[in-house]
Amino acid sequence: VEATPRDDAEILLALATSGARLLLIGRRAVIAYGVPVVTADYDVWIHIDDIELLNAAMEKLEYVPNHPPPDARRRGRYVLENSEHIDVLVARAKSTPDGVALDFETAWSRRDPKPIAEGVAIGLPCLEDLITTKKWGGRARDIADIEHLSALLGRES
Amino acid sequence: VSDASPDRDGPLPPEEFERRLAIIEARMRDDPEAGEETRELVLWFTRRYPSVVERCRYATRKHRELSRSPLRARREP
Repeated sequence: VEATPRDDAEILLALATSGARLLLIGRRAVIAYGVPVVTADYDVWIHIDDIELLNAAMEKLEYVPNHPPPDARRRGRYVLENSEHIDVLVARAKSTPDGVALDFETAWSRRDPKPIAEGVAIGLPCLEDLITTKKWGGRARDIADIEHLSALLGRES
Repeated sequence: VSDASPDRDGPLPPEEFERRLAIIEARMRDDPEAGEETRELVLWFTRRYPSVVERCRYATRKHRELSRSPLRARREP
């Protein structure tokens, strides 16, 4: 079966209205904050109890999970696959290499909702938490993103 | 496009990541002009693409262009 490319509006709307407690993370969140970088995929962090809600919503756009929910919970992450990937983090908490932990509940409570349609918003981690999540990746592109986000954080303070 | 690095670049050695991070943190702390270029870029981008959806479409479109023809896409505004 050939994968169907989806418009970003459809993807964002399905994520935001899935009913899952969900944060857009990764480069899409950097882009949502207004930094013009490039990516094909989506990364989200959801509450560990909300996998089924997200899968049901994304099934309508023909996204297929690569692991069933119990396995995804055990692994702490899974992927929703179509023409593009949605990497789904389901860990309750995660730490940077230097030991700074961020748990989902805290990040969720500090989220920055961004409108994507009339009456619909998608949650982003606040800038400080997004910088923390970028430290998880440890890649050169994460360093570039952290530099951009730090510049925006400087403007806020 | 300020950074067209590939989506799936691998992680840096942890000490190299920390070294680069420390450079950024020092620059942000010590240089009052640090980040000005990013802030100007963000101002341009958010004026041109006011909504999150428009920004995401731009990023996806640029990624597809770069995947097809990296040199051509980098020459485009």
